[in-house]
Amino acid sequence: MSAATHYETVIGLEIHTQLATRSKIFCGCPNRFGSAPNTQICPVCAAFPGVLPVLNRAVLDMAIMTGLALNGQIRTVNEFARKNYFYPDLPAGYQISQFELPIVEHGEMMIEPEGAPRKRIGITRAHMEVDAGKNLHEGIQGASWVDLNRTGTPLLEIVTEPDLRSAAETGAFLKKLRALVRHLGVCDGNMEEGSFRCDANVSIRPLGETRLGTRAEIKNLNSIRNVMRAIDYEVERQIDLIEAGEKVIQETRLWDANQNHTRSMRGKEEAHDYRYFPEPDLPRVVIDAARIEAIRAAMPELPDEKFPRFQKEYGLTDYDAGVLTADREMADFFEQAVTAARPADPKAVANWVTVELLGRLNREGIEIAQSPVAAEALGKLTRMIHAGVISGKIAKTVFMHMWDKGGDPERIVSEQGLLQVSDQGAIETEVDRMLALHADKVEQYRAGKVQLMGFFVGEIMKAMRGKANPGVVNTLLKEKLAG
Amino acid sequence: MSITEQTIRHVATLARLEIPPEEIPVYTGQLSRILELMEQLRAIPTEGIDPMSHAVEMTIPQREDRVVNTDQRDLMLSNAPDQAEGCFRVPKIIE
Amino acid sequence: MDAAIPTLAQAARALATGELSSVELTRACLERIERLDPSLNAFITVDAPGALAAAEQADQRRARGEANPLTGIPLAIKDLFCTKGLRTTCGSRMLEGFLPPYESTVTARLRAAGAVVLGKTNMDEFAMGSSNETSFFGPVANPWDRTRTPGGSSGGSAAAVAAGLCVASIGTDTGGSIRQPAAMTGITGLKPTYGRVSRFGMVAFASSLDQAGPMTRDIRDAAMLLQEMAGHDPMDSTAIDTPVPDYGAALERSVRGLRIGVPEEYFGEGLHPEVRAAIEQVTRVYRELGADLCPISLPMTRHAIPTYYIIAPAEASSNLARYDGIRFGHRCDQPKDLKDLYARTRAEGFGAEVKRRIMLGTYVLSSGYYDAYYRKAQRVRRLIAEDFARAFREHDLAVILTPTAPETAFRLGEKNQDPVSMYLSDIYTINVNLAGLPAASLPCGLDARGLPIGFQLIGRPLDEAAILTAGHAYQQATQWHLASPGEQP
Repeated sequence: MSAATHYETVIGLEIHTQLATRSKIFCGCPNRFGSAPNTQICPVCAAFPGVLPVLNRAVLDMAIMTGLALNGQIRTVNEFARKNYFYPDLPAGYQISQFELPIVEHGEMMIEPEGAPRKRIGITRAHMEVDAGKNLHEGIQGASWVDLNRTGTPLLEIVTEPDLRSAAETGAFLKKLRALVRHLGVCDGNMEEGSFRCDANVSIRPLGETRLGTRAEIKNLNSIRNVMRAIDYEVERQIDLIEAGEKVIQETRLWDANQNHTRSMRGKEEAHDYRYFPEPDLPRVVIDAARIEAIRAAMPELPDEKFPRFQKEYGLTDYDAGVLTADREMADFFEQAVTAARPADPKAVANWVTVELLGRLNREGIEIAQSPVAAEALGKLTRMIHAGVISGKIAKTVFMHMWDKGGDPERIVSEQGLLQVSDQGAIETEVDRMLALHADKVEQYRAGKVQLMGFFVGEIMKAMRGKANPGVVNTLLKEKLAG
Repeated sequence: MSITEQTIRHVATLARLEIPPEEIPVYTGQLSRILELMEQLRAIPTEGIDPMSHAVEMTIPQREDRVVNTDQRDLMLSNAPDQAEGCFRVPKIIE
Repeated sequence: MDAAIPTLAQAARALATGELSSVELTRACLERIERLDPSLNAFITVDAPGALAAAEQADQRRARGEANPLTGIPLAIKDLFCTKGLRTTCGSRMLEGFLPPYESTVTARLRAAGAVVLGKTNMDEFAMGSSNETSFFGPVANPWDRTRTPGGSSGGSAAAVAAGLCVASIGTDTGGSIRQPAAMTGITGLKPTYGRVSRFGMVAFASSLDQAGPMTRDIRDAAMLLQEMAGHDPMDSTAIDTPVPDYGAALERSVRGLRIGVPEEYFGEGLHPEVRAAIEQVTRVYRELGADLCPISLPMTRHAIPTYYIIAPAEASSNLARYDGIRFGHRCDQPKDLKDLYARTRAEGFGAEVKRRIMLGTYVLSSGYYDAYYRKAQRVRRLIAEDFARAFREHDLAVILTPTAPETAFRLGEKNQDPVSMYLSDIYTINVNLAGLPAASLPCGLDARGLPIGFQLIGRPLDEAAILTAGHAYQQATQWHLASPGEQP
């Protein structure tokens, strides 16, 4: 594709994040995925005559928190507006959204695309709105069914500037945004279940051109991988069009993951005129500075702040700090373990987490939040090594035990009789016994075959079932062998 | 300001109202006359005036994030003209 | 006066002394409905079994000593308040068989106080109209002259009170729908401050203007009902969270020294001379009572009609989008596709005036026209509200006195072919809704044909009490609220 090098790709995103509240945005129905159709609806979310919306406080809090995390300006006076259109999954015939006065404006996020420098992506705005229900078609003859369970789920729609230039940047942005909303606890980030949805506006322009080309809006993107594939496909399609002397049409296109292409929705779409106007059923949203500050204070530390702190405070390498701050659960796990491990070196804890624990978790496909080994237990284990209570080798046995059956490492060590023997007398007895048993090898050692040291250590450890303090064993052996 | 029959047809589409062809001129005439009434507003200077979308200035009240509703599907479906398997039924939607 | 049905205050006394039982009173109302309503058409639905059961319960409650003034009082409710399990049509074919699964806050409060709901009253379809002629269930006749309109949109509620089919009724007012029919049927109607009474469960017409209020034989009854209806409701985000004063106490205050503004703009062209004369007589009564009358100017008045007929239809076009034939209400036969389902369901379910307003509202909100119409109207709306605020402040007024309607009840069929002339009949009431103020209409005379004339008292925000004070003083000094149409055929 030599033609591709003459064009620049321009991408802007609209991301719908379902906020992880307990109840819906304007009524007391549960905000939950996967219930039987229409079992979590009420007259308010199903838009019966005469009912009225009442805002869920948590939605506003989460919107503010996300806005702050995106380094955006919180509009202290913002308003809900109605977006009017007809569709069976939109029972009121309008979506309560925000239009002229959104809650968040002028935000930004830094991305670190693989093999490229850090880059700032502007966030135009983020606004609160209600999610629609679902129209069911599959396997239904001659009709569609409407399930309104999802209606009224709170959404925060995040709109980026057209700052992204490639599928790779877009992927990096989405991964980071998803990690951020999960980290904040405002969204579970599940793209397959639709709690984190993305539409991409894609256009191309000749290199050096500053005006934007005609864009296509790509929908139906249910994974980050699909977003990236759809962008690659769409860019190619647009280049082919232009190279062939044709024009890109401004339209909505659906990504078809099976066929690996986007297809036009043209002709099946009405001309849209949403007739936005301020929602008369809801007074303006007025947010005082104290509330914003309280949310800022209560906000969990952001990944971008955590990384340098982990390096500095715990003396971690870039790699370890990166792994341990990738998401909030991981970082919290590590810090809990460090606390329990004190005064052991945090680097030792990092080692246990990244090598032993993550290795096993990854092999078994388990998330850190579901780890069978608790953070406190792993920290304690590290502390016991540090204190010389057990050896590193025994620790691995204890770890396996904790993985299989859970439990406290101290109790496991004592119940299994794994306590390290540091008692000089006990070890000396065993050393003497071993040296007497292998008098021939002692001769050989003294004659210069010093590699037999390993043999003696191994035999002694075997005899003492691994519990002997290896330092003490070494010292005593060296003394005695020296004669 | 008078509006055209074409505008009336467009607005009827937006509003999802079927209007028989013979009524289009009636609506055109009536709406034009009503809109003439609106013309006098143009002359009023309103620059810098905050549009008033609520009768009373107040701040949006907020409820606590609590689930208070339980399953009431049968009741919610009891007024539905057409239903199937716990869902509202509509003509096939082509997407 | 026609003593067939007592006022609310009289009934409450009679019930309290045991002179009368709620069952007797309810039976008397039901009997009158059965006899008189066929020619009036004030009710869409009469719930005789429900009413009698409620009356029995009210009598038992009273026997237990747990009654309050509304316990056992038979009321008529405008058919746009959702009543659980009791058909609620809003005067529309669209909701002809709608059984709400919930109860409006207003009716819930009244029922909790022990009031008896006789049934649901006729109204202009979705409250859009000033003559009750847009109802799918046919027009309501004015008890004073059955060839004439009782006004609208709460025409059924007004006629029911005037004809003595109930003790009192509840209406709603978006641009004058309580006050104009009250004036045309010779009763008292009070529209509270926007937000004073919860809108939850009231089928919405124009959300930023709609407000429920009492329609009664006199202002004392209105005070008694408002006392029960008013107050904060967590289910309505626009309901004002502020204490409700003792309205009974407000009735007893004197108007001596009370400052009453009389705006010159309400007495211009279009005001019928007989109405003008009656209002001038009202000012003389107040002067004699020692009130301080003060000429004022509300220069934005003439812009209210165009402003209202942009804002109200715009909100209505959106509020009425939920009538799509999917979850409730009318649905066309055999829709061939989704578009057909919407377009035909809505064309069949809505009447001409509702469709006209949906079209108008859709147009003024549509792309390219929003700024010129909707935003402009919202700005003028603020100027109208500021006009009132300035007058109240500069002249230190308690209330403003105006005519309620430019003329008395017009003939059925007289205006319904000409939307603009119909719209102009709300010229004195619409401003009040735009500004969100409380206002009442009280009877103040009869014209040469013997038709009632009403005057309007407009109060400051949340100061319904001042209206009650002024209204009660007037009714203490005059007899117009006692006039009754009698039992005409």
